[in-house]
Amino acid sequence: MIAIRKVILAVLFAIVSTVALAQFNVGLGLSGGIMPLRHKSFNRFAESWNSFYNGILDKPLKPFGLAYTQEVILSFRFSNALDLSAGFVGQRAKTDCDYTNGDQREFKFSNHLFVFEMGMGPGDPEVGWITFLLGFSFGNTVIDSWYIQSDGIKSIGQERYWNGSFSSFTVGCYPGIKASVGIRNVKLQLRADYMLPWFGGTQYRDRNFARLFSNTYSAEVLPTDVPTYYNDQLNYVNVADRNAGYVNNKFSGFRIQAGLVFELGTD
Amino acid sequence: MVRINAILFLLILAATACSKEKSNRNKVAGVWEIEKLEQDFYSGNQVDSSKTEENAGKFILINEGSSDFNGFYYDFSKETNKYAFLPLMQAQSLGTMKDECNWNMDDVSDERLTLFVGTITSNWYTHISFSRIQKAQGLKVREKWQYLELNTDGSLRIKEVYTLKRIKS
Repeated sequence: MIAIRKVILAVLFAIVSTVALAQFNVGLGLSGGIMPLRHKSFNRFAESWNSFYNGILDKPLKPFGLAYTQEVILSFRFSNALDLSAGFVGQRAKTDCDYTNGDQREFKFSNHLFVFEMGMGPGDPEVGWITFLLGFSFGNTVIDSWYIQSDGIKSIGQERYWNGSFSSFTVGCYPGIKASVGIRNVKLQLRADYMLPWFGGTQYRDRNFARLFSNTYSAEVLPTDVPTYYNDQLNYVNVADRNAGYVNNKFSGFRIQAGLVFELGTD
Repeated sequence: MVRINAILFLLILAATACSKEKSNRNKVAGVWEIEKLEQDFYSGNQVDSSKTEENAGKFILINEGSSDFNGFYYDFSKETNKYAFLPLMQAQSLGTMKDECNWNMDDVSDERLTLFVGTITSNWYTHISFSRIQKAQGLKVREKWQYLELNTDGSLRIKEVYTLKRIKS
């Protein structure tokens, strides 16, 4: 984690140095969009969950559907061709299952990623740009799980086995294209990219220190084999020796966004 | 001017690369006055009886800069039942310091606060978790923390809601 922060700071230092020395156009982009989230290991968890809790589910747990995304990004365009950008992307999606007693369990996928993009393409400051880009993203991705009773009381603590905030540090990349067109200082921007895991496979884990060493039963990870994991915990099998696979941070998706770019000027 | 603003934006980005857990911890560290404690006791998923206590005492959450171990003290004005604390009180014999336990915040969410008692060497902790169902922000200076206790069949047994006012951060 510390090493990644150093990488982020080094990238920012490089951009700041370039910005301090070169001629550039600068634009602030705000956009939002959708991404059909492909999360295979979570889908396996959902299948296993539905099978395990079959008798008490009124509505089964479905895979995450559409993720909603927002982005704030600052772009520097050098010599009307090279584009360097840095900013934040937020993504969130939700799914749930209903129990026969009227209670509900919800799972929320969310992340706030620091992104750095490099791109090239033709353009004119007065009209707009087309940029082919390669972006890199770093940050925590979290799957929160909570329980809502039929009377509205929300339970997020370890009083319930599957409650938790399961997180994993995610590094990804995304090839894509963005195009902006407009008049003077405000431009409409459309962008499409494909988010891919760069280093994937790290499991989501509830890192609450006290819980990990407590005598209270609650899930530390989200398993892809729910019955095996659950029974192993009841039988005091160490996490390392359990046979269940885990939900990991390999997710991907084709993302489409639209927004505005405010040209802040030339320097 | 554009150049300066751009560099400032990038510096803000760099600053936000700092720890989320630290930010979450700062949100709840301090002295909290328990203005009101509401207890609902359930039977068959229905509220069977309720109790409300005003000025129930104080929580003192000391920020020791640790992601896991920060000192926690409680000072109850009346020795009535605070069900959230019964497991901690019973576990004090495990620890070495009377009336003391530790607390931490999640590193990703600012909703869950965990109090625990134990020893580093024993690697075994008794803990409870509060959810911050109302957070102090903007004009709201009070928080509400909720503790739930369940029966073995998963049905709700006790719900406690602490209405708190931070008197020192």
